Amino acid sequence: MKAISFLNILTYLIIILLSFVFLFPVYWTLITSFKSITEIFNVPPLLIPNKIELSNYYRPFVLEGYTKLLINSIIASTGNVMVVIPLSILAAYSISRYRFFGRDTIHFFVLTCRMAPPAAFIIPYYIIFRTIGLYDTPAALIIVYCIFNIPFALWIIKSGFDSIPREIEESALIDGASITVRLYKINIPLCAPSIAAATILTFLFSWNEYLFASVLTGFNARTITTGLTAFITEVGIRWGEMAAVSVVCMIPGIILVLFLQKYIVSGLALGGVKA
Amino acid sequence: MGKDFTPWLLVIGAFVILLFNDVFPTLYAFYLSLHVYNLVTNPQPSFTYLNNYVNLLRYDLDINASFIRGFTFSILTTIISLFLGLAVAFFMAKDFKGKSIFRIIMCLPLAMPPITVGSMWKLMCNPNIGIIPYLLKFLGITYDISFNSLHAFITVLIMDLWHWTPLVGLVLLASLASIPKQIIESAEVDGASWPQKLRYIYFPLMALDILFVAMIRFMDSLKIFDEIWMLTGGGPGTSTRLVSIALYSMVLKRWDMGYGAAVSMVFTYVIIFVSWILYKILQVRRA
Repeated sequence: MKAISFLNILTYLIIILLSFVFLFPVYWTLITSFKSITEIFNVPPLLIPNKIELSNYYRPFVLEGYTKLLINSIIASTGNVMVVIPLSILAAYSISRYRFFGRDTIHFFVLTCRMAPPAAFIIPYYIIFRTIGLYDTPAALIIVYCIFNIPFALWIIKSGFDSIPREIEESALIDGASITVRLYKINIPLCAPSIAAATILTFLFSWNEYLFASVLTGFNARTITTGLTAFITEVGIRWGEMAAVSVVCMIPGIILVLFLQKYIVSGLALGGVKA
Repeated sequence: MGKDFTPWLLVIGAFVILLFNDVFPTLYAFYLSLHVYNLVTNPQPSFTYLNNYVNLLRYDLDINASFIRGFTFSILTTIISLFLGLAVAFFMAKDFKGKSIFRIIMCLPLAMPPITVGSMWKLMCNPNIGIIPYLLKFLGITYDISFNSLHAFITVLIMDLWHWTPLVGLVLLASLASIPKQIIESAEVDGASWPQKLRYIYFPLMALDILFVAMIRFMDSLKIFDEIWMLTGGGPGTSTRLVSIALYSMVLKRWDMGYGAAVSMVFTYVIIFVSWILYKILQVRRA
């Protein structure tokens, strides 16, 4: 009995240690964003700020126009969702339900697009979007983000369609329902959880993206993630503002994790990934 | 269904946008890679056969070293994150009070933007304000990622493990959950020890998922950019200059599009080649 309780304590200790390790960087960033400049440089480092300072948020977002970057991020991410999700639903439906010439090739091609190393695309993208005049517009980001979001959304939504029994659709077909009716009245409602998951993750991936945004935008369409590197200046790093903007960048991710907690807790969050 | 074009009409949108995003830029990069084309010094592309590739493979020590560094980094992070992720999966599978909070915490790093992962670690590792150098001082270690190459490389590795070990943990947790309870119970009845269970039950039944997640981790870590760019910018010296960083800073500094495109092509084909090999291994195991 004694051995078991010792093991239990050890398990708890490891779990607490793991939680601490994985939570601490987020906590450190959060408290740094509320510290004044003297507190940031305090020795020893302060684990809890003496007084909550909001100036680190005030300066970038009110005085330096970071709200615009925030709006740009929202435009690019929402726009990308609005392109990716409808296209993915249609393509996933087609690949899931029909047997047609070239189906496997197209499916394979779509999935391999996600493997492309982003850094290898910055040169062609930069020149192409300069040439067609979309450089420094949200449209460029909305188009470019499709390269990693369509394969992912298609994958999730297709596994959703695959899990719907075929009989339901066949009986609708016998009743003479057209493809539009079948899609809107039967398949999309039944597949809603997968589509919701794909929507949320598509938004998050677009929001989190940095590399393409830093290359394809200059001034007008800069996103919040690219604003983060601006705090590393020639004369030093503006730590407080960097922490504050980092916190704002993290908000969608944190909301997502809390929102999806019941899937996470039941261990199903990444069940789809295994398919 | 002979003349029914519906399935093609349905996929055409996604297909066209991916052609424009993937195939067209790749072809264009290939075209550029055969030219001398510099936005600053030589804005009119002129044909140069395969010279860019020859220069790259024979003379460019910087890029070649970054490939070796990248592979070293990917192999290390994949192997370590597999071991840690497996351990994390076993802990997540346990039933205890506060289990849901633990799982939520473990999912948090996955949802963070990579660039903020870089800034978080920058805030913790800076010698002036960070808590890690402060604590390591008590152990007698002068820790400074802006001067010590080894410290920088290890920090980048740990940062990547922090970010992605939870993914390995979650995939392997799902894999653990799919093992029928009866098998484990009957092994326990037969008196199997922990290592025996690991060796004869968990590993064989989870082998495919372990391989799968190893493949994902390896491919992703080869492409890593944001976190390292934010944390070290590739420095000090060239110690954390992995392929993406080398490519990015080369393009930004020299605006040499022709040569950069050649590097991009080599990078893409290395990734395709590696994923093809991993895919074959996975297929062989599955058969």
